[in-house]
Amino acid sequence: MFERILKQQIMNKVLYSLVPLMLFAIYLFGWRVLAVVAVANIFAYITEYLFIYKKKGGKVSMAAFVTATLVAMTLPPTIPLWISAVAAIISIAFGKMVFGGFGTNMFNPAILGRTFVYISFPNQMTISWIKPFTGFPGGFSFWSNSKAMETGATILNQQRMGVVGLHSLTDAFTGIVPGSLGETSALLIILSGLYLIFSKTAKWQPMLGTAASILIFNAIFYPASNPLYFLFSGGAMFGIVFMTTDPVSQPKGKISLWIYAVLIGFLTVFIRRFSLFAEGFMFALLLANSFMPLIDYGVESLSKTGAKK
Amino acid sequence: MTKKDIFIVSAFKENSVWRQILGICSALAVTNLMMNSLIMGLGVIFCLALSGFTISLIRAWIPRSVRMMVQTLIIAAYVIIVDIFLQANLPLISKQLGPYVGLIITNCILMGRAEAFASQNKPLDSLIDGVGAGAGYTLVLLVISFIRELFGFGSIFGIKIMGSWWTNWSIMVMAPSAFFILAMLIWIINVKFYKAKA
Amino acid sequence: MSDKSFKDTMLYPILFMLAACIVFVGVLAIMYRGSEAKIRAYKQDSYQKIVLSLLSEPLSQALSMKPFYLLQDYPNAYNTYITESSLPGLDRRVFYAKAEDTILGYCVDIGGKGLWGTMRALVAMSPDFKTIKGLAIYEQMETPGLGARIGEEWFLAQFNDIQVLKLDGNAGNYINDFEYIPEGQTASKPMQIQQITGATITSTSVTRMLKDELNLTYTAYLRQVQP
Repeated sequence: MFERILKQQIMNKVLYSLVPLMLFAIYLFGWRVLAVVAVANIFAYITEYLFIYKKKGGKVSMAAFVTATLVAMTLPPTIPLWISAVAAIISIAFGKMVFGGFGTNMFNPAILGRTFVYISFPNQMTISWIKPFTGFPGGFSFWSNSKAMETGATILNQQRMGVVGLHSLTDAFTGIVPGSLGETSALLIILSGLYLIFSKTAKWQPMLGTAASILIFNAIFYPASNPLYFLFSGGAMFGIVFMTTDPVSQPKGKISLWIYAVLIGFLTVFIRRFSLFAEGFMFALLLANSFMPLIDYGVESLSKTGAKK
Repeated sequence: MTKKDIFIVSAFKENSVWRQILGICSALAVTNLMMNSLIMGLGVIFCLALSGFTISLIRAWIPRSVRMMVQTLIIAAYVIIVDIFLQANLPLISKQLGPYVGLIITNCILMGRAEAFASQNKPLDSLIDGVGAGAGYTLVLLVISFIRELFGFGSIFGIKIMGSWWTNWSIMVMAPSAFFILAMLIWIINVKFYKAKA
Repeated sequence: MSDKSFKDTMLYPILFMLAACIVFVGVLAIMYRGSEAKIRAYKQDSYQKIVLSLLSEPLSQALSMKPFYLLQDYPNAYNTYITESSLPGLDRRVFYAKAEDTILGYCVDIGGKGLWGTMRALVAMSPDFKTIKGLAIYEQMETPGLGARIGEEWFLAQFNDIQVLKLDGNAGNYINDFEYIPEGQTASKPMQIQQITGATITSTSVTRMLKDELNLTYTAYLRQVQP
């Protein structure tokens, strides 16, 4: 299995699938988006290079660019560029290299970097959202739309404050809503997800499992609202397609994959509902990551005892 | 060993934190501000030195069967002295350190030095050993709190050194940051000074 | 019986432990006795200083002297103008400032639940308990750098001169709801308070504490005025 990943073919495909999302983000928020992504990539490259340049045959893997692009796509459009750099450095250094480099990391590096900056800089990460551009040519003719600030009001925040319906379900689905760079459009994310599945880049089980479990637990915790609304808002869709499918930090067995997916869904809704933070997906994923070896081990030993009988 | 050797060994070569991984809990708890760390470090130095000295002084008479109880008693007595002193004379710092001063009692370094050194060595040597171990501990606290205060508040010993452009890193104010800063510290020191033995 | 054999008996460790306990606990007891008065005096002083400073505004107006000089004159000013009393059926410490036979304001010791633990505060009220005149949080365990910022001057100053009493209040429901706006915005309505960024729960804990406790206080006050 690792044979294929090390050829980095897969990583190229993930990057291709991110291109439409990035273009859409530029359309919504202006060319500054590209700068955020570029800064993350440059610093990810430097960080990984510093870790491996002494080793024999040390080459920076494609995975570093995937991680950097993913982490940049989860940042809000107003993010200062240096925070983008910090996120990329933490992702690569603490998410991957300290565990021994590519293939041996326990946590999803991109989500780890995002969580670090989310906790460190709550102001920059959660307060200032900008209204997206609409019409033609949208953000393609602007650097950024910093005048149209919409303070503290993503869909999830509104939900917590009890203001529902400022953005409709269709808005959330097509993605003309304020939010982080890559997470706004559920439609494009689903298309990218389909591409990843059909090009055999990612497994479909974690995507479907997590999505289903988020829907189910939302229906339980918020019986009054439409669960699709929650699935399409916040970082959940983006995370489902690009983060849960990370081949390194997901469990290896088939059954454990399903358990992993359900666990992420449950924790996401649980954290969104009961904790201090509006977004629960990243914490859910990190928690599920840390249970991953245990799940794998448990399922394996259970099936062994089952076989003996 | 000369007195200087004793100090160097207990402060650096066999540093309680990075060599023996003792006293971690308080290293995580009080390191958000340098001033807190310094006071905590001074408290630990005081308790370590005097408890070591006292235990060593009466080591010939301590019955083996109750030696741990006696050590705990002596350590607790000195810790309470520090606590009372802070409450009476430095009430603001005492309030900030909160329960952590009392928790010096449970700091593994104190029992460790009492058991490993003071109960077998001369009083003066034990005193120096205690000061050394405490200094090593304080050094670690200060390094961690330097990073945490600089990033978390943009200041050092409460004096603002970063301008208004600086953004505080909230994570550095919270306890989890001490975990990975401590881990990195141990990592760097191990790589630099202790070549891994196969 | 030689010394050595005595050391080997069961009795020796027990006697040794006993003696050690007596010696060390004795030393501690003496030390504690010595500084006990100082510790208690400090605690009382800092508490009374908060009460005095919260009530200093109406006091200084009535006495036509600057609040600063009032605080400078601490033990005297406190003993002269401030009296501890109570309100019927309210088990909170209540203080009032009195000059020339007029009650100028009250100060109530209130408490509530924060994010990590309990917090305690002193709130100064106008003599008719309609308006908050000042707020000081003197005990809290919130997150340093985030929630702990409720102790900062700008946050507390927002509560000054807020009229909290509802015009159409009825039994047990006398106090208006507070409303939060993001940090840095200017309040456009009377009950609006700037929330501390990254500390939603702590901020709401403060207003919840104020609302609940002032409700109780006002109920008790009514009991006193119209028994």
